[in-house]
Amino acid sequence: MRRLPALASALAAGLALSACQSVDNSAGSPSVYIDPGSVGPVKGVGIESQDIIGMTDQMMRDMLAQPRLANAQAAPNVIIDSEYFHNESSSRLNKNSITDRLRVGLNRAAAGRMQFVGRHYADMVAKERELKRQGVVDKATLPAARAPKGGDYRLGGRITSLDSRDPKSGMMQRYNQIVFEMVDLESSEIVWSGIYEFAKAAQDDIIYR
Amino acid sequence: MKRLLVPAFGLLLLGGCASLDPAPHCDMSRVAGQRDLVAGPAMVEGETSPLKEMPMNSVSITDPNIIRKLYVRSIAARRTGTGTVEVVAQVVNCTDFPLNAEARTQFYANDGAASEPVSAWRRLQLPARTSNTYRELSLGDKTVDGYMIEMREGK
Amino acid sequence: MAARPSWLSVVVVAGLASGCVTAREQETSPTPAVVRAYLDDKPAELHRHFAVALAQGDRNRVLNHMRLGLAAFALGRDRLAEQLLDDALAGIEAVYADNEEARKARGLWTGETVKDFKGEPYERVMAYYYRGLLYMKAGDYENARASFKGGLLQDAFAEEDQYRADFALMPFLQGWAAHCSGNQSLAAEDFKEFRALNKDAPLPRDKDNVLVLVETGSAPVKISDGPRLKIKRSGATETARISWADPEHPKDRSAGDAILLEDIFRQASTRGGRPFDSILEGKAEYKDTADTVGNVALIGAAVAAKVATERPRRRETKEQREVRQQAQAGAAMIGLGLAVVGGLSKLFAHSIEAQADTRYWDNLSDRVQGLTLALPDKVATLSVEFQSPGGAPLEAVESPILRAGKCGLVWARHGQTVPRNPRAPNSVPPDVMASPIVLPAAEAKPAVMEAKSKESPQ
Repeated sequence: MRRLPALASALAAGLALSACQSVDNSAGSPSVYIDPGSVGPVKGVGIESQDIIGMTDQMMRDMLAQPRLANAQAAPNVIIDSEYFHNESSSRLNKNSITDRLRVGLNRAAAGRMQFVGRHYADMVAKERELKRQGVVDKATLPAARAPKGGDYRLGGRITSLDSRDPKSGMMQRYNQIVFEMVDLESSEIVWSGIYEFAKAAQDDIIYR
Repeated sequence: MKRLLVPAFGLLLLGGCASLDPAPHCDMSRVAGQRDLVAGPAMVEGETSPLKEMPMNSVSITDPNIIRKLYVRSIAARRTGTGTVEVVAQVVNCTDFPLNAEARTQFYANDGAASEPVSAWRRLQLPARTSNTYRELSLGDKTVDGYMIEMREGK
Repeated sequence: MAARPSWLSVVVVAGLASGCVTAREQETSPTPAVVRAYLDDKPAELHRHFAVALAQGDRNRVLNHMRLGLAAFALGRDRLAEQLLDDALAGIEAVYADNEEARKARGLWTGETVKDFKGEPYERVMAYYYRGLLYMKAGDYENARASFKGGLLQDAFAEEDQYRADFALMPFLQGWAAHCSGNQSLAAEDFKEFRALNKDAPLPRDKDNVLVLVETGSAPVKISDGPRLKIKRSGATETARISWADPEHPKDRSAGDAILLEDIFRQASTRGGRPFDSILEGKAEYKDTADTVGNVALIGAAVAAKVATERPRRRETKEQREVRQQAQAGAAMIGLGLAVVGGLSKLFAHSIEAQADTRYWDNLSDRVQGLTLALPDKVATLSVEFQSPGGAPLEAVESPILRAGKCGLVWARHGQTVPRNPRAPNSVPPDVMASPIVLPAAEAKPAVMEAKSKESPQ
């Protein structure tokens, strides 16, 4: 009979301590390289690495299939930067990560079919030209250009999004639309357009709704 | 009497139709039967390739999650105006559930080596019992001689 | 008498259980070297705060980074503020699906406080607000607008329709950011959205190029009213008068009153019940039931114990004594059983955690007031005079106009931006809240290194 209280208290202690078993004893996760082109372990509803890789790859291939850009008699001078590529979406992002990948990918694949103008390096070029012309530095090996290259076409575009949220279920949905356009810098004709769109939805845990 | 019989006959026909599955009809066992060893270059001369189901100029479904759910109905390749290659594959979702798939293409030169970096994964949404078209363009023009499309389930 | 040991053990165990706080809710003790390395590039006035943030870890990461992001912003340490707020926003935007800690917070035995802090919608919106202001200071008006837009999306949870996505400050700032990036059609759309929420405040004119934002009052306070989360206003309602002068004619001062753009307390208090409150209420109901069962069983046990310990009558026959002893032995057994049941029920009730999470962003302000002006470049500072509700002057500050691109920003705050207590309210159990914060002694290092670690204010 005397064992009963001891048993009861052991049981009670077990029950009580079960409440304390919240020590996070997971071993953690060592840093690993993941494929930036596939969905990673951290997911949101905004623009992620696989979207940037997907959209730039698609645009690059599409541009190279456009005869006015990639099959002209004289390779056109193209400017690809984020100056006229606007972010009107609700995702905070560095637009350069999109335009840089597009320019680098195109430049590597174009193999002389297009020429690229580094307008974002204009300052750098102007300074060096000035130093050469002042005689502060020598003329280097390349023949002097009368003026820096002008652009035939320049990238323009827009990132927009449409967000919706269900206040009851906490479900959040974002439609992202990214438009890329190449504009003729003489006539303002849009010679090529590409669109990349996707929608993502996610639901947070009830404790955060 | 004849007039009365016509709608009744029609109703009978409708009843017969209702027991049929809607299109597409996929006989997955026959699809599986078509898959075989691929003849091609092997590591050891004179032997068949140990690689299965990865022939050149075809779609390889590399994901066991969707291999019995999707059917590749047609594949075509053509040159664009600039000489690059466009591959087009029509994919059918044979299930009664929506599926997400993604595919990428590797383009090859005529010596069998990859002529350019593999394309990015492109997402394909396939609602229940529908088909969708996967397209990809090559970066290179004259250098491209073959292609291989890989397809897996989209997450 | 046999019941005594069981009573004792139940009481001891209950005592043990009452001190049961999960390891996540405690502070860790990082090694001095780690703390020193972490504090090396942080502003000296925030060292104690950062040491606490390091010790409190992931559970309070968003909370600490929100508070410290604002403090760093107010100190002019923009790079640091950007890092802290970006990190806080990454935490807010992370989707907690199949998360272990979230599952625990829903459980019966652990409190809501065990969860990683993401803040209530008003706090989340304000994190986006400060990040947007930092983008504006840097002249990146597109990302500023994206940030304000992202903030408004966090305000979609109110119980009643009219309070959903009604954070008027956000569309106002969205419109201003669009105006500054030269996108007038987008600005018009945003100001239309703002007008639908705020009928009174004047809209910026096309020629306006300076935005003045004045924050007053202290943060809304969270309290736990049983399982329900309640918000209280803690600050007074000051107003602000802005004046400036052309440096060439310093005597001709122009002035304007800041208009109320957002009442943060109102935003906090109109959210209504959270879906999670119903889970907490369920927990509270369990707790009440278990407590009542415990009370009834313990009363029964007391009655049984009384019977079991009753004294014998003076004259008792042998038979009567045997019957009495048998009855008393039975009563003792019943009493023991009831005591165990009662004790366990009480313990069960005690272990259920039904309190709402009351951690909150304590250096936030109560109201945001604003004014847009058209000022020539030569006007470099503005004078902001804070006034009591009666109009009595409280404090006047000279604030610089931070110009970037087409526009300039003036931000002034009445009250403290560096939190008084390095620990956020209710961020740790009460005994830890009161414990001292000890910083490791600084290591002697070459003077060059010290100078290098100091970031110049922007």
